[in-house]
Amino acid sequence: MRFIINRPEHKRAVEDSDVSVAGTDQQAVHLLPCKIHTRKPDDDCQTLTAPVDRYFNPYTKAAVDDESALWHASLRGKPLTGVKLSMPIGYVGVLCVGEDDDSSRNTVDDSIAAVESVTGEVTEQLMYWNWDRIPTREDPLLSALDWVRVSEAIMTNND
Amino acid sequence: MDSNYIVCHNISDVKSAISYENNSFDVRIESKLPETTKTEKCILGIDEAGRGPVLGPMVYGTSYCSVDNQDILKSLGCADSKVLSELARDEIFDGITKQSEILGWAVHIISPTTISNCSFRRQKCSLNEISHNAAIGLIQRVLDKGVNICEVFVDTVGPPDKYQEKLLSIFPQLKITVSKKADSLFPIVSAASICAKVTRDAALKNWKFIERPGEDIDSNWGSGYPNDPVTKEYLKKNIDPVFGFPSIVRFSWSTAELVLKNNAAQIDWSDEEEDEDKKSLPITSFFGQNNKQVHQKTPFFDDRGLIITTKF
Repeated sequence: MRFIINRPEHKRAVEDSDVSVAGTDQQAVHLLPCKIHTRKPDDDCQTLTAPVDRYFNPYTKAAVDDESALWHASLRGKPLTGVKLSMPIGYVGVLCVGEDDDSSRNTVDDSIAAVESVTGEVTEQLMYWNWDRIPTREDPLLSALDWVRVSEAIMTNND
Repeated sequence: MDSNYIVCHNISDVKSAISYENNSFDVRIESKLPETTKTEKCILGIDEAGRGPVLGPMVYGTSYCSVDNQDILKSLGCADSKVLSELARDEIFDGITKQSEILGWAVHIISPTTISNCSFRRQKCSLNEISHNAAIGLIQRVLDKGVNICEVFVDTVGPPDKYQEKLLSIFPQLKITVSKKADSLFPIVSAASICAKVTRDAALKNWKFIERPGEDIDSNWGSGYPNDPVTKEYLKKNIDPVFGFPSIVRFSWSTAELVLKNNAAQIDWSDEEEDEDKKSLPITSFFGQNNKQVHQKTPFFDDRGLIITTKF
């Protein structure tokens, strides 16, 4: 998984990713159910900006501060359904920029590229989006956080 | 779905109702209820505007009045909105709103985002289905307001018979006529068509581009029809490489998809790929032993997309 963060003073997302970025009133990180090819194979200097705060406008019918609210948005006409995902207490998310190259990296293990660049940015909350499907515990990322609890249980001595 | 109706008394009310709302969402507008329509037997017409264009909302309109008062429609000049000039339509709409003691009307503005989202759902919802639901919603709304409808006339571009059956199954108490070119056959449908068309024109003229706050907007999009070169040029000029078009554009139109394919970043939707993979499995793969390796480890980590990483 790769994250990119949007600093308010830059307001720019760069690089390929399966994660996009928002900068509304706060730094919001959007994890999208798609891959945006922002580089052309013949032009590896090209990076694209993503004016997220103008084009990506999530809304909810629930109260905005409702942590379990379902959110809705539209990307390229596709309906997205999302939830806010908070990191477990005591943990932060780290946003990484993968060295991504469409032409060669399709079959290579993600684990190598994914950690080549760590921006050092941390996030305590992100928006997790599905294409027209309510995010549930069937979603890998949402269930991945199980590991935090499992590992704590394993590491805790129960006398 | 939010289905609140905003009450409007004239065209400037309509314009301010449209610009008050976020244009990504549907807007529903209605006249005040003419008292006579509660007691006297009424006819109701339904028509749409802006089905074909790649830009802007599709608007469904209805108008209704008592059977005894229907002569007012002809004297207002209600005819097929497509043969009338924009000015003539505006004047007739003005006339309709001034007859608020006799004539009722309502419109449902279906936003381009709604149209795209519906056709890009996992379970695709066709434009016909969107149209039918809008028509059903309008009839239901007028019934709910207590109007004594006895006969309904609906314009359609699709096959009328099935559509008529569908409506009759939902509203068995009504006499319903679904017909092609109903807007030129029945003045009550002409009135509905004018309400829809005037609203669509107003929506386009008052479109708020949330993507370009405070900027001068290039509104030179021509007719909005996909085969119009001016419209095509507009699409090409107004692309964000990542997000594509501003939300006035119907992403689901093939013209829009093609322009994006050639002029914007490619986006792969993970589920599309998966679905294709599933389809391409040969049937023989379900017989006998397949050569997949048995998991040695617990699938706990794989299921959760977790990998062990050391370089961090």
